[in-house]
Parts: sequence; C-alpha cells; structure tokens
Amino acid sequence: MNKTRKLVFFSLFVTLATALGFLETLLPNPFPLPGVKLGLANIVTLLVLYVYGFKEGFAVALLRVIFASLMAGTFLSISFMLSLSGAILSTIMMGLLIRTMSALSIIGVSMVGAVSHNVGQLITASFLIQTPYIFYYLPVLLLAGIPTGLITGYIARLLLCYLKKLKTV
Amino acid sequence: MTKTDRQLFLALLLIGVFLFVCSQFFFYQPNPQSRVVIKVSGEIIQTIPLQKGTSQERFIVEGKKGKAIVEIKELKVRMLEAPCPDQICVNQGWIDSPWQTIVCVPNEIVIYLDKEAPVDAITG
Repeated sequence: MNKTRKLVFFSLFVTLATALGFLETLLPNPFPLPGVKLGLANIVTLLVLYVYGFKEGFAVALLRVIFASLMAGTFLSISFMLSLSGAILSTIMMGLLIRTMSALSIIGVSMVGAVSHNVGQLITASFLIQTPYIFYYLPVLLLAGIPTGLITGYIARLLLCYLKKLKTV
Repeated sequence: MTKTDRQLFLALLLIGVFLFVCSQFFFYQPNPQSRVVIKVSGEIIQTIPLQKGTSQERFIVEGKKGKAIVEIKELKVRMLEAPCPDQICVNQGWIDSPWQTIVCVPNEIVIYLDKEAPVDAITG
C-alpha cells in the first residue's frame, strides 16, 4: 500500500472517530443509565483493526480520546481518564480476539469491545473515586454493553463490506 | 453472526444476569438504620444518619465544580441540583438501600448509603 495513501486514510479514520465520539456527546443518550452510551466511535476503531491491524487501531483509539477531550475541554479530567481506560482495554481485547479467534465475526468482537470498554471504565472509576461500592454497578454495565456492542458491530460489518469493495484503503 | 458469536452472546448474557442476581442478593438489603456518606474527591466530608419520619432536608455540598444540593427524605437520598453538564447524578433520582451509590464524576462527589454503627447502644 502506498505510504501517503495510508497516511491520508488513517487521518480520515482518526477524524471520523473523533467526530463520532463528539457527536455522541451532543445527542440525547438513548440509554437512560449513567456511563452507558452507544459507542459510535468504537465502529471506527473496529474497522481500522480489521483493515490495518492492531497498532493502527490502538493509535486511532488513543488519538480520538485525546482529541475528543480537547474539543470538549475535559483533557486530563476524570471523564477523560475513564474514556481512555475504556478505549485502551477494549482495543486490546478486540485486537487479541481478532488475532486468536477467527471463528468470531466482527459482531462478536464488537460485543466484547463494548463490554470491556464499560468494565475498563468501571475499574478506573473505582480507583479514582475510591469506593468499592461502584462494583455494584458492574452487572448493569456488562449487560448494557451487549446490545450496544451488537448495534455497533452490525454497523461496522456493513461498512467493512464497502471498504473491502473499494479496495483503495 | 456466526455460531461462535451466538455462543459468546449467550455466555456474556449469562455472566451478566448471574452477576446481577448475585449483586442484588448480596448488596440489596433495605436497612432501617443507615446513614448517608458524602465524599468529595475521595474524602468523606459529611455523614448524615437516616431515620424514619425525618422531614425533607437539604444540604449544600461544595464539589470540585461548584455547589451541589443533596436532599434527604425519610430513608432515601438524592442529588437535587448539581453544576455538572450531563446531570446524570440528578436524573438518577432517589437511592434507598446500602451499597447504592450516586456518583457525580465532573464534580467528584460520591454519595452512598452505609449501615450505621449502633452508636446509641455504646454511648447509652
């Protein structure tokens, strides 16, 4: 693949992830639970993991959290730490699954990504806020990750089809 | 969706439901003798005992972002007003059993219910 072409597409993916992540904060949350959201930005991370590989996917996840927080003015705040830890854990989990379990489709990987994103956030939250009580909330977040992961997984599968057809990425 | 996907879906669902049932079983116990603990940035700044028949009371808590108002009524507590943008803590409403928690992340306020040590029995 042409180096410049890769650079351009990679930048586009980072921009897309940042914009989707930011867009989500502006939309009313369809899930009336604290800490639960659709995770639209995860679609992009997932696509990059599939199209390029782990290194690139991880970079996109990291960069989009930093950019989104700079746009929202929450850089280095607690909510930034929460999204960062969620993004890191979910990208590592998804990357591992893609590499080791080929029986799993993009939808299954997305489900694990969503669930581990929520769990990663909760682990960091319990460290930062220093109450173990927060783990009372773990099953709720775990269950909430399943439908959100399914939805983003289906969207990612649709998009992956088009990206593969294009063959330009 | 492949077969493994479906298996994974069921596994996650079962783990989730199992943990949910466990947490309800272990943590949920309506307790007539409880107290409200309010933490700001990880430090306990106020504890208020809860009793049946207490009338509505409001407390102002100074969080990291500004003043929040905590309301107590009988055995339950809620965040009435908060300066945070998302208002998740306010929308959560009342909590009334030990281990339940209201967390306001932007304002770094944590409110939870705790079982109270029987102080009266010791002090007479």
